Amino acid sequence: MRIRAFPMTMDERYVEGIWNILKNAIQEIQKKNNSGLSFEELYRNAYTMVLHKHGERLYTGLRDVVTQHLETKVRGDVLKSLNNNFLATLNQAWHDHKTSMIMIRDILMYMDRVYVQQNNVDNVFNLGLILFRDQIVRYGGIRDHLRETLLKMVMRERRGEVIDKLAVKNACSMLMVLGVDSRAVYEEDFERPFLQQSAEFYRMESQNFLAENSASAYIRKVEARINEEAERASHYLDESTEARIVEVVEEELIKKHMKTIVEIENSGVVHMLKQQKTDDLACMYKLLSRVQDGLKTLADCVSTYLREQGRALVAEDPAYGGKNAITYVQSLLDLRDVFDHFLKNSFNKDKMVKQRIASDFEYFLNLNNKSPEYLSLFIDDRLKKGAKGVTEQEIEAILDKTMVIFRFLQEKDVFERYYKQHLAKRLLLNKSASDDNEKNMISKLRTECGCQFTSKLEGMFKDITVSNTIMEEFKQHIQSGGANPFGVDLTVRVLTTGFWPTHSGNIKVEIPRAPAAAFETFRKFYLAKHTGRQLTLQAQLGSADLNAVFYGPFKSDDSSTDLAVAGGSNSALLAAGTRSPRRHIIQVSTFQMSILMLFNNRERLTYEEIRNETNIPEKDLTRALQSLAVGKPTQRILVKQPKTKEIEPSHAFSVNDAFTSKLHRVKIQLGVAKGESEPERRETRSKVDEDRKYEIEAAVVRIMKARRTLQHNVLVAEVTEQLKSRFLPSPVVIKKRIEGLIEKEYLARTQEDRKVYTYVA
Amino acid sequence: MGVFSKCFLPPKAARVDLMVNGGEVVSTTVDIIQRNPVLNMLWQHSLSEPGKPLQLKDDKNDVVTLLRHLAGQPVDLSHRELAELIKLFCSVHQYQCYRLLSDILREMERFQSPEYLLRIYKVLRPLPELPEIGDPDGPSAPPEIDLRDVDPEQDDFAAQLTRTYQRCLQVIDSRSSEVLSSDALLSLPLELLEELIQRPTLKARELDIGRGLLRWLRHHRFNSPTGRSDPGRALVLESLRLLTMSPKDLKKLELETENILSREELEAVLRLAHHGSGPLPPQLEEYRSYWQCPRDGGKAGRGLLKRLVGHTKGKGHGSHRGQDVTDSAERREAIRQKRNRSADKIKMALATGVSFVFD
Repeated sequence: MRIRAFPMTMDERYVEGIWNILKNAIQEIQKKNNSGLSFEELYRNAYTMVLHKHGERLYTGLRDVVTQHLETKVRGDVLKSLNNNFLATLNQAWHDHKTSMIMIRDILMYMDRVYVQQNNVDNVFNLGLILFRDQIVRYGGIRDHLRETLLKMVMRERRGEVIDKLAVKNACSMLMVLGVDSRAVYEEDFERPFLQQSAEFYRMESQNFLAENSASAYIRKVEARINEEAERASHYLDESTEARIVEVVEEELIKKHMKTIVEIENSGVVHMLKQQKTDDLACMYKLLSRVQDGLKTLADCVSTYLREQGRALVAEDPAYGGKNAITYVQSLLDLRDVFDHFLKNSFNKDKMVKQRIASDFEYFLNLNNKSPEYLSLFIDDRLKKGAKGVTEQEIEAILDKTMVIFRFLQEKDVFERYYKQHLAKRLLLNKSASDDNEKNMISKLRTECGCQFTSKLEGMFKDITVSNTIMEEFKQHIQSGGANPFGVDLTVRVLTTGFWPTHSGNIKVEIPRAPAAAFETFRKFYLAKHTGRQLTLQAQLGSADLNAVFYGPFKSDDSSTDLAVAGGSNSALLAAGTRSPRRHIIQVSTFQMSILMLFNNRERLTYEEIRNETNIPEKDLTRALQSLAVGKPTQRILVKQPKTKEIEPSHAFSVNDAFTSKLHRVKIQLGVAKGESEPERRETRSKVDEDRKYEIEAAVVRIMKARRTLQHNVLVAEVTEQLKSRFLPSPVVIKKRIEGLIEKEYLARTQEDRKVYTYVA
Repeated sequence: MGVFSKCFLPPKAARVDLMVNGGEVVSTTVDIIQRNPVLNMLWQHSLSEPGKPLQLKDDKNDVVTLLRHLAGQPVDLSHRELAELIKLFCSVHQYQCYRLLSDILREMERFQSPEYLLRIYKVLRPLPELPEIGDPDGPSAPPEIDLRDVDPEQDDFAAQLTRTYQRCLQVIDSRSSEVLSSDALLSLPLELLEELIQRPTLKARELDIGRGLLRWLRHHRFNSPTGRSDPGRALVLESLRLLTMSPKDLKKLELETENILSREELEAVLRLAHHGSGPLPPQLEEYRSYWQCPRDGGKAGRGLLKRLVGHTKGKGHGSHRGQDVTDSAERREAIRQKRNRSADKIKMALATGVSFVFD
C-alpha cells in the first residue's frame, strides 16, 4: 500500500495554480456566482496551502482580493449613491460583503484554525470587517455622509416625520459589527455625534419647555421624551445607546433644570404639596430620582415646606396663652398623615425622603419645649373615660401614631414625667377607660425605650391591683367587726414611694375628723399586716362623695340653710328648716371635702379662716374654692362675697342654699383641667433637670467603670450616645457632672493630661 | 445564489448522504454532521442543491470511521497497520477532528521500530499544529502556542502530537545507525532529511551518517557529474562534520566518486584531517570550524550550524513561532488576542446568523 503522507514541499507552480483557483472562487463569491463552486474542493485547496506552509500567501492574497473588490466595485457603487438612496446602497453592500465573507471564511476554515491563531492575525471574517470599515465606511466622504444621514433621519423622526427605521437599524448594526471586538466604530462614527446633537437639541427644547409650561406639564413632557428616546435606541439604534441617550436627556432636561422645576412658582413642588397633587409629585419623584442629586433637590424642597408648616403648628401664640394640647398633637398627626400619604403614594417610600421627613418632624417638634407635655396630655385624653364612639382599634391606631411623634421627641424623660403624672391621675381618680389600652400604651413605650423607661409605670399599675386586694381585706376586716370606719366608706390606694409622681413638700392637711379617724383605722390595719412600713396621707390626689341637703331657694343673707356634709354615704345628715330639702351627692376632691365640712359648723368663713383651719396650700385652696364658688353656675356650692372672680384672703364664703341641679350626683370640676400652669411647668422642668443630673452621673460612672481611662471628648460623646434615647444632654452639663464626680472622688484627672479621666474605684 | 439560511435547515434527525471516493454513498444524520465543523460547513453549502449527496474525496473506511467517532460509537484502532493508521490520520486531519487524531496518535505508540518511527516522523513533522520542539533530551516543554482557550481538543491534540514527535526524535537519536540504514529514510523529503542529518544529537559514526546521506542522494539522483554547486553537495557540506572523521573514514566515504568534492578539495580535507592544521580551498574555508566540531559538541556546534545554514532553516517549519515566543509580553498579548478570537467566533456567528458546531 502506498502511504499518502503530507508532502513537505510543493511545486511553486502548483501552489500558484491552487491559489488561482481559490482567488477565482473568492471573486465569484463576491460576484454572487457561487452556485457552481465546490466548497469541498476549495476547502481542500486552502487546507493544502496552509499545510504546505503557504498560509501567509493565502492570507495576503485574500486580503488583496477583498481589498481590490471593495475598492473597485463596492466603493464606486456607494460613492455613486451619495445623493441617491445612499443608506440602502450601503446596507446592501454591507449585506453582500458579509455574506461573501462568511462563504470565504468557510473555505478558509483551516487557515482560521491554524495559520491565524499561530500568527496572531485577524481571522478571515474580521479581516473582511476591517477592510470594509477602512475601504468603504470610513473612506473619504462616506464616513461623514453616513453620519450626517443617520443624524438627519433621527432629527426628522424627532420632529414627527416618518423615516426608514430599518435602514437606520441596519446601518447601526453594521457599525457595531465593524468594531470587531469593541464598539469603537459605532461610537466614533455615530453614537458620539448623535449624543452631542441630542444634547444640543434638548438644551434648546428645555428652554422652550420651561418657558411655556407648568412644572407638571414639563415633567410629563420630559417623561415622554425619555421614553421616546429609549424606545428609539432599543428599536433601531444599538441597544447599548439606550442608557447613554437617556442619560443625555436626563442631563439636559432634568439635571440642569431640577432646581428650577422644583421651585416653579404656583406649579412647583410646594404647589403640588399644598394642592395634594399626589400623581404630579410621583411623576416628579420618578423623574428626579433618575439624576444624581435629583432626589436631594426634591427632598430639600419638601423639607423646607414641611419645616415651615411644622414651625407654624408648634409656635406658641402668646395672645391665646398657649396651645390646646389636643389640637396641637392632632394637627401634628394630621401633618404626619399627609406626608405619610405623599411618602407612600408619591415618593415610593423612598428611604432618603422618609429620613428627611422624620428629621424635619424632629426638628420642629422639639422647637416647642411643651411638646412632651402636650403629647402626654393628648394620650391622656385618648385613654380617659368619655371618648365616645371610638373603638379599640381606633384607639390603637391613634396610639400607634402618637408613638411616631414620640420617637421624634428628644426630651423623652420630660414626656415620661408628664405621662407618669397623667397616668397617676387616671389611675387614682379611676378615669382610665380601659386597663388594656393603658397596658398596651405602656408596652409600646417599653418597646420604644426599654423596660427601664416603663418600670415605674408598671409599678403604678401593680400598686393599684395590690390596693384593691388590700381594700377588700380591709372591708372584710370592718364587716367582721375588727374596726370602726366612723361611718366613712373609705377607699385607700397604697402607693409605693418612687413609682408615683411626688408633689412639692409633704403637706400636712387638716382633714375632717370622721375621714381622718377612718384613715387611722386603715393605717392600723395596714401596718399590722406590713410591719415596718410608713403610710403617709397624700390628700392632694384624693376624692370624696358627700351627701348634701339644700333647703333653698333662699336668697336673703340671713339664710338658715344647713349644709350637711360628711364623708361617706351613711354619714349622719343634719337636716333642719321648713323648706323642702334637696338631696345631692357631691363629688369633690379631698381638699374641697375639708373645706365644705367646715360649713357644718360655721355659716360663713373667710378665705384666711379656711386656710388656717384646713392648712391647704394656698395654690390648691384657691383652685378648690374657685371651682366651688366661681366655677360653672351648676356647680356653685358656695357663695362668695364680694362676687368677683379673683379670690383674696378677706373674701368670705357661705353655702349656696339656692343651689339647684337636675342631677342627683353633682361632680365639681377642678378649675384647670388641661396642662400645667407656668409655675408648675417650671417646677416640673427643674425636677427634670435634677433627675438628669443623676442620669448623667450614672452614665458617666457606667462608662468609666467599663473603660477605666477615657479622654474628655470621648466620654462626652459616649454619654450623649447612651442618653440620647431619653434626652440630649448638653456638653456643658456633662462637664459639670464630671467635675462633680471628680469632687466626689469617683473620677480623677490623669497627671499627664488633664483632659483624660480615670475611674477611681 | 447559494446562500444558506437557518430557516431552511432540516431537522437534526434528517438523513444526509455522503458520496465517498469510488462513488459509494454513506448515509448519516444532520445531527452527526453538525458535530464536525468541516462536514457541517460542507453540508450547509450543499443545501443549495437538495437531493445531491455531499461529495468527499476520502476512502469509505476512513469516512465511516470518522462518522462512527462523531456518533460516539467505539472506534477500534488496535488491529490496524501503521500504514492504515497514517492514511486515516491524514484523512481525519482534513476534517479537523482533533479528538480522533489524538486517539490515532496514541495508537501509533504501538510501533517502536526505527523504520516505523521514521514513517511516523515523516507524517507528523510537516503539521502546522506541531509546536516548536526543543532539545528532545531536555525537559519536554509544553506547546509554545497556547490553544487551550480556543479548543481543548485541539490543545490535547497538540500535546499528544508533541509527545509522539519527541518519541520519534529520541529513537532517531538513540538508534541513529538503524535509522540511517532503513528504507524509510529514502522516502523522506529533502527538508526532513536535511533536518535529520544535521542533528547534533545523532548517535552514529560520522561515516555511517555520511553513507546514509549519500544513499538518499543516490536514490533521489541528487548527484551531478559536472557541477559542484548542486543541492547534494551543499547538503553534504552543511550536514557532515568531515574533520571529525579519520582520513581513512573520509576515504571510505568516496566523496570524490559521488561528485561531492573535487580531488583537490578532498586532498586538502584529508591533509587537514591528517595533520590537524593546514589550508582549505577558499570555497570550503567557511566550513572549517563546523566540520571540526564533533556531534554532541554542545552549543558551539549548533550555533555554527545555525550560522551556516540559517538561510535554509529560516524557511523551515515554525520559524516565525520561534521568534514570537521569546518575548513573554508578546506571548501574553498573543494569548489575550486568542481569547478574544473565541469571542469573535460567537460574534461572527451572531452577525451572520449561521450556526456552527465548532469541533
